[in-house]
Amino acid sequence: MRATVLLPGGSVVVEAIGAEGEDLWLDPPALARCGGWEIKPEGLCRGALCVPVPPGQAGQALVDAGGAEPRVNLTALARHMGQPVAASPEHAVWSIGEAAKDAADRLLSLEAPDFALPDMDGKPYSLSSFRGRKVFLLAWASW
Amino acid sequence: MTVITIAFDSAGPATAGEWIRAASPTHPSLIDTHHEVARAYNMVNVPTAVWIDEEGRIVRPNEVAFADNRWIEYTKFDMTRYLAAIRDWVEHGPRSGHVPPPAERLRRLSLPSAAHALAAATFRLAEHLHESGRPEAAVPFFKRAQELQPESWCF
Repeated sequence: MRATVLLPGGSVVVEAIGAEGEDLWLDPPALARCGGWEIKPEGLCRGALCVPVPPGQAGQALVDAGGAEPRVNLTALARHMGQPVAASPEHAVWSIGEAAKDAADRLLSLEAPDFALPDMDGKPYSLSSFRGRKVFLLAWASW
Repeated sequence: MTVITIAFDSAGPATAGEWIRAASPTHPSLIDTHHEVARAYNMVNVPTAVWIDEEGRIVRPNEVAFADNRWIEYTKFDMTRYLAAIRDWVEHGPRSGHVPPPAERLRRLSLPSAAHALAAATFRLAEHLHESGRPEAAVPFFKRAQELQPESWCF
């Protein structure tokens, strides 16, 4: 089945092995496309970060190595990493957000999060291009 | 100092444009259809302002900021004094008495909780369903995001 996965850095469409409720099972190539995860002897790794695979209880396993090729439950993996998951299995869409702790740590650095947005004519602006000037940032809405 | 305004309007120029045209601002007046800035700064209401210094550091975190006193009964916040505070900061920079010390800045930060993070992921799912032609499927997720972060007006 094809599944759309919305990730903090963008969205990908992957060929998934299957879904059971909110659980989304992926083979290693599809998993790699969802945030760069790889299965290694030391556990599940993303770049230099490796997390040991917790012993899964029946039905809650992160990794199922029973088949010819191991498969990974992306939903369980994201939740294990503290990332929120919202899913509409019916429409084959999974939304994986940033962990609250990561977002909080970023703000606690007092570094203003950068952004790139257009004005109403589509002209792009980014906060970082105003480095060297004070910025008074004001958010509003027409509603 | 540069003023940057950001409109949290999902419909983009269709709804925000009329207001921006009427104001014909000389500062960058940006539109954030996906509320990215609301998520990144954990803004839960509008109007919200943040003061950022020359090094790109937050020197005064999220706070309510109306242009005048029409909502003072509700906000208990005198905007004439606020505008004077901004002018003082522009003139005196970090030496301004209106720039809180770092410990106070940290205390004033609005930090996301696990429920806020789940609300943001749920809102994004709803937006995706809405934009990919399944608006009826999006409705329960928009409602769920609101329930998860009831204090947020941005969902």
